[in-house]
Amino acid sequence: MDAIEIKDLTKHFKGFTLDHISFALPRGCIMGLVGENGAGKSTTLNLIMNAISRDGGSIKVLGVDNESREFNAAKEKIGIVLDEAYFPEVLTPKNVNNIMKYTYQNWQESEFFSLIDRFRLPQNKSFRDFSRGMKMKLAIAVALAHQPELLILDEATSGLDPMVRDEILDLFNDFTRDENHSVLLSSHIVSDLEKICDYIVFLHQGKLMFCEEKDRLLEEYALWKLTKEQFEDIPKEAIRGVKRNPFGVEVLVKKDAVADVFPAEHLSLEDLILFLAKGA
Amino acid sequence: MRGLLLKDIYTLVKQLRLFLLVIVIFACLPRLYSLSAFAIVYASMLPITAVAYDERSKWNRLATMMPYSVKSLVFSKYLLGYLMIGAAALISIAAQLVLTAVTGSAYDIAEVQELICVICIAIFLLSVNLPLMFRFGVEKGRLTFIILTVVTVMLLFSVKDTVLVWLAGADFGASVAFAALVAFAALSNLASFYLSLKFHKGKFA
Repeated sequence: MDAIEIKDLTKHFKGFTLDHISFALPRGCIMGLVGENGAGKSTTLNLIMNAISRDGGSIKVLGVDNESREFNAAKEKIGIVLDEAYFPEVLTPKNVNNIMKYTYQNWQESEFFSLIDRFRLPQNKSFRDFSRGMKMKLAIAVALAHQPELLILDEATSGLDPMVRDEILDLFNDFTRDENHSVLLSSHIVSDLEKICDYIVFLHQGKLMFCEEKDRLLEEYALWKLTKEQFEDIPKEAIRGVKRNPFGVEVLVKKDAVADVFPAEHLSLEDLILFLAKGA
Repeated sequence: MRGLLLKDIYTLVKQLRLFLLVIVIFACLPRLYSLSAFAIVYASMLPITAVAYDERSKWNRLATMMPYSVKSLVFSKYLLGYLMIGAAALISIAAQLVLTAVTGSAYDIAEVQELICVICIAIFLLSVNLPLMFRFGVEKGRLTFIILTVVTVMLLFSVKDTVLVWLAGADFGASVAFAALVAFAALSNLASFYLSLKFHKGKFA
């Protein structure tokens, strides 16, 4: 059973449509949701959690239809971290513990405080005095302290310094050591996704460009630096993205559509996404 | 539900210590000054402040993803209002009992009836306010409430002579009027809750 199964998901807003999105997150895996601002990442996550209603398609989370009555019970097994902490800022971590004790049936007080200690967060300080990194750590402690099977993270690492980001990404990696645990995270920081994700979903202007295994994705494409003359000789159907500069042309090609005639440059996930977004 | 109530109580206690103290002091004052009625009505406004703090922290975005039902998210604000009104009323009764014991005077049971009328008015105000807050947000909701109050008062003034004549001619006792007030407060809250539910769901459609 997949942790998340989305088929033909559609949502219309004024000026934006999330257009027949389908993908599945296998259990035990980390999936990255990437796309430009307004591509539909947060909308997709809101739809997965049924925080907004869908116009079409189906969503199953941990085997449960997210519009069914049973989904509220399934939410007990889902940890959520959004781009901010979203708790009233006068609360202290101790207050948050007391509130969550009556929110999640599986709330583990000892686990929460051990994470608070691990993150070196003060227990009795209002978190309006916390830095952004500290606030996000508090949100992550809340998400992890009720024995979740699925973590859903919306831009949880944005605005954090590299040290904190690395620490948090390690935590997510540890979380998926249990083969029943899965993570879906959206991020602008493609290097973070490259570091930890097994699968990448790329959304562009509300459309699904691809959902692929990360390693396979990097194997499927090649980046060539060519002269203008060399570029003219490449079959157009193989080209997925082009970047022109005064010295020549950088071109992203689909390997299976073209002979391997030019030396390939190093291709990062970020390059790939940028080429595809601009070439799309 | 307990988690939601606890969150609101923590927030109110930390942000409004002075105002809560004012409510307690007013509730303790002798009925002579009618300030205990003010304390009870003021207590009915506290859920609006709680909604304002939720708005400021965007709490609802997170809460809709947690295992809270939409009904419990909405009802927790009504429950908070009932608890606050109830607490102010109990403090007031306790203070009056102490006062009568100290002064040696008898506790007038009519005061309890008077208190219940004030509670009904406070609950009615809650039922008008909360749907507006859920529909328009706190800032616009407060403005709409003020406009609604002004329009209602103007309308009442325009028909007051007719109503007074009708009331003078009507032959119902105080107990019927009292029961009607209680029923009106209860029904207005029921209707208000379903309206708030609809508005809250509409926001996340």
